[in-house]
Amino acid sequence: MQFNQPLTLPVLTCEPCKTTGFVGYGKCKACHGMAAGMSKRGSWLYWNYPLTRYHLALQAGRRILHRVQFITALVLWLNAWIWFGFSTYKQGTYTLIFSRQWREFFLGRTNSSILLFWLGVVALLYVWYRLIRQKELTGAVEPFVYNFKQKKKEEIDLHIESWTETTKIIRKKKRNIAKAFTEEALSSLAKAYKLASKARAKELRLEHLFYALLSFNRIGNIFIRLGIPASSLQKELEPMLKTDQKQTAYAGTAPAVSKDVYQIIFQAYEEAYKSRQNYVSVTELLIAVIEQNQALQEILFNFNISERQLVNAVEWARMRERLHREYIKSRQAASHHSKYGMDKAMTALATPYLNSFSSDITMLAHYGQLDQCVARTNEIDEIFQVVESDQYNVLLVGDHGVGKSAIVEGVAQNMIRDEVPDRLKDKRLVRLSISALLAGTSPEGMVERLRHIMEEISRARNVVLFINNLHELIGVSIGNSGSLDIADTLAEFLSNRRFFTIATTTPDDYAKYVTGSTVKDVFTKVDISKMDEDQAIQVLESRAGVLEYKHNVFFSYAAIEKCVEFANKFLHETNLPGSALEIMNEAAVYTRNKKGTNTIVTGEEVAAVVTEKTKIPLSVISSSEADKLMHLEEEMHKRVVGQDEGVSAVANALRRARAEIRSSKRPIASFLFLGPTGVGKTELAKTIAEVYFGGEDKSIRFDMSEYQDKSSIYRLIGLPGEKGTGVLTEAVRRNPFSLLLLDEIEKADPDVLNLFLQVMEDGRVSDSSGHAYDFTNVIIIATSNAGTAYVQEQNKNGVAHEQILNQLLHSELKQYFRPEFLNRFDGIILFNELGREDIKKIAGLMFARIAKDAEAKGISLAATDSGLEYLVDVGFDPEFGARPMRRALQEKVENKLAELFLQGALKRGITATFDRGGEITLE
Amino acid sequence: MPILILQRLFLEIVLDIFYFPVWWYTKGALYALGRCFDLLKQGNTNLAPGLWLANIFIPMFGQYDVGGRIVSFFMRLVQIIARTFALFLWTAVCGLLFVAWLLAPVLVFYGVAYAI
Repeated sequence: MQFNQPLTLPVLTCEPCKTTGFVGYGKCKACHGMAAGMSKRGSWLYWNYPLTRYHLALQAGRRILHRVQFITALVLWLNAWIWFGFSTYKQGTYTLIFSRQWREFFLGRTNSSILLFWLGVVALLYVWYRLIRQKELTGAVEPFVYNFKQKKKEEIDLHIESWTETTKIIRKKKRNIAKAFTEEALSSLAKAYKLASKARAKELRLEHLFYALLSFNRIGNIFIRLGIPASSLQKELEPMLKTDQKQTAYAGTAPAVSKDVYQIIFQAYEEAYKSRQNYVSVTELLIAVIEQNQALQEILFNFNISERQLVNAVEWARMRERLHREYIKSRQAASHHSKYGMDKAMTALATPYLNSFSSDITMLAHYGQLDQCVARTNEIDEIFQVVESDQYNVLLVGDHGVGKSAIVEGVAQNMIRDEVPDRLKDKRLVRLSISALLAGTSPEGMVERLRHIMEEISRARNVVLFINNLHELIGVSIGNSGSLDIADTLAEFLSNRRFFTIATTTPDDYAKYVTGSTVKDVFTKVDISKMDEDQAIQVLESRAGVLEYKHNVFFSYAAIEKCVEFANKFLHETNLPGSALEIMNEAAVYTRNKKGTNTIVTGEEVAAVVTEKTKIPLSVISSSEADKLMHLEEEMHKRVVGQDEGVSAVANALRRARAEIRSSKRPIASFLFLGPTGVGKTELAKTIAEVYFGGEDKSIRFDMSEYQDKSSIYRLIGLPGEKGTGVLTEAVRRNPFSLLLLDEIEKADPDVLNLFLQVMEDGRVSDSSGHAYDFTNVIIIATSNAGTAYVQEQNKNGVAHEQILNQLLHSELKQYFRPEFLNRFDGIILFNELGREDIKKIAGLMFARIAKDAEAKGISLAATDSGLEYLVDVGFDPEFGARPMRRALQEKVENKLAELFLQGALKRGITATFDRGGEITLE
Repeated sequence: MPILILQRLFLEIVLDIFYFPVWWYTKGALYALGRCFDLLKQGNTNLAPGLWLANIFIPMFGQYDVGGRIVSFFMRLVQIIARTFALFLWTAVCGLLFVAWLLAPVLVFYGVAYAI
């Protein structure tokens, strides 16, 4: 099954009261009304919200009643005071205010008017009372406790196995989880119960609850993001809700609540606890219901929704709420934060010198100018752990674009909210600008500036220094003969432990600059790994709101998922989530321009944007494209004559690639075309480029005779230490979706062949500087004349095609290629020698090209069958294939046409016919 | 069953009206006390005389020279006195708010009685 089955919680249910908490209209004596409960984290969690017809109706009635009470009191209050104002106006006592006769104003009025005023006050107090009571009804999920496992075990387990034991639990340890459920979540349970009751079901089942949940807007919106209206799901569910005879209850009997429902109620609570959310909403119920029920999973599966998609879409809805709460909290916290970078005790020192070389990130957070940091809680916690463990300097090591700066900005936001270790509280995080530090000075001057800054920070006592790209700073000293080492200066100050420093660098630069310098010892390294797809999806979800508002479009979940998937697969220049955010941004603009405002960005728009960037066809296959793919062979035969085996192998590979039925870790396909010269090997490769890649220029062609020595490998993958100098790697970087044509591969050096062996095996190759290039969207076609003499000889002897190929592979080709290299090709195709009939067809095709050129000059050129026969007589040579035909056409057709043209015989509108004996007749 | 529910709801309305003044002086009073205490805490966070007292010998604005230390000491002393006084006033305001809570029903009762 595609969904993970959650662990069953040890929920204790009460049999005497059938888990309702009530026997008749009185509380159950066995469970004391607690109905269901479980021991968790040292507390007894119980469910005290009876799911019976009477209590649910009573709850619904109460909800209405409370609203009526509230509104009535509100109306009474307003009414009383309006009438009081009116009577004041009528009596003219308001004029006493202007003459400042306060006593007369308050006391000199009729009793009825004063009564109105005080009755208004009573109503107002009642409104207040109702508001507070309403709040009292709602509780919260217990606060999340970090490292709970470390607590002593006896403290955690209450060991409750029967209801009699629950009487011993002290009140403080009991928690009614029903209070943590939102009103919406409770009414979804009531709605489900009503549904079961209406269907006369014996039991309230998860299907009822799921159906009820779908009618809530919050859930409906999640499924809209997933591209499915909730009503379609409800329709699909309806047959499941019908009860057969076994399930039908006797008329008038209320449905019981199945144990599964209690299980999911507690699962939902645990889900909210794990997500550090202090209430249980319909979204938690949704996840719990689906994870618990396989039949519902099947329905979602039929709608093409996986667990991952559902969880991420739910997380999206929850994240929007969470981010909003955090934003409000940050804004409130910012009002207590100094705008001038001063701590509360005013012990800090102004840092004018530092300020001219830096920017204050806490101040940006103060004014709400930073994006919220998501999916990086673990990394931020790790930084805090380092800070708390008496370390002063943290070095974040991660590749470009993984979000190191975003993490530091997240730390700044936490600083504003005071959600940091005490040592970081009431401090400001300042980013040092290395370019400003270097501008207009020598390395000596820079050291001087740095010393000055460090001294100022030490004195200021409330600065946390942030050095982005630490290697740039250390790198300066590297080029200067070693006499002046900036790393040493930095290490000297940082080892003083007078202030905190957070720095970032990349793994390559860490190895290159940091490991060999004194700075390494003063920093504690924290690795920042590349985000996985789920984390990146969360980041995109957190940014979707801003883009939706800006461009007036609506993102579906599929769009977000595709952004991340394509970025991970095809954009290797930047890391996740940076690359995915770029696609997302462009997809929003593309959708607005193409479909207009108030439209949905789907996976198709994202595919179109990525196709535009990479030229890789990613959109859903249209019927015309499918038709074209089904008739690829016919299309290719318009250019290639014969060679059915080769054409069909290539067409099949292309169809597999487009339908995405292939390994995504290897190139689309790799073929070795063998055969004598002039049989159409290169022509077939060019045809593929034109038919599938959209033009002959989309092929990357290498003449392998130019790569015959060992050093030529560096021409292909670049010189050591120099990025972007490899002709092969750069060509594939620029056109990741292309045809790689390796002509005369047998002539290449064995080391070069090993390189291609790796490409065919892994679909990637690293250049000399270690950067990996993706070859998974490339078709590799290698051509070779190896063993031609043998093939021609065997052909003359009339040996069968398969036998020749077999012999070639097992003996002749071994002189040129290692068996493992040959083994990596998806297909090795031996091209047949061309017969007279084939050559005639080729002559026809070549003649048609000349005719097309002539047509541009207004001359209509045609050839009779005898004319073509004449060309075959002149240009047919079994040893050289179609090549002599090109010369024959040049001599017998093009030369003659040129002469006629110069003589002035060929004019616009004239018809020229190439006939027997090479004669050209004009009409 | 609807009758039963209506009966119950009616009873709850009646009880709620009677419970209102009782609540005001029991749970409600505790709630008001809690809120006043929160207000006081917020005032303490903003004024923070304790923090100034803890830092009384630490010079302000990093002025570690003797002159700076002396000036800072006296400046902090003035600040502590002023802030403590302000906090005292704030405490009085919070206390008054709580007293107002307690007196509100009495005042209303008196007002209504006076009008009648």
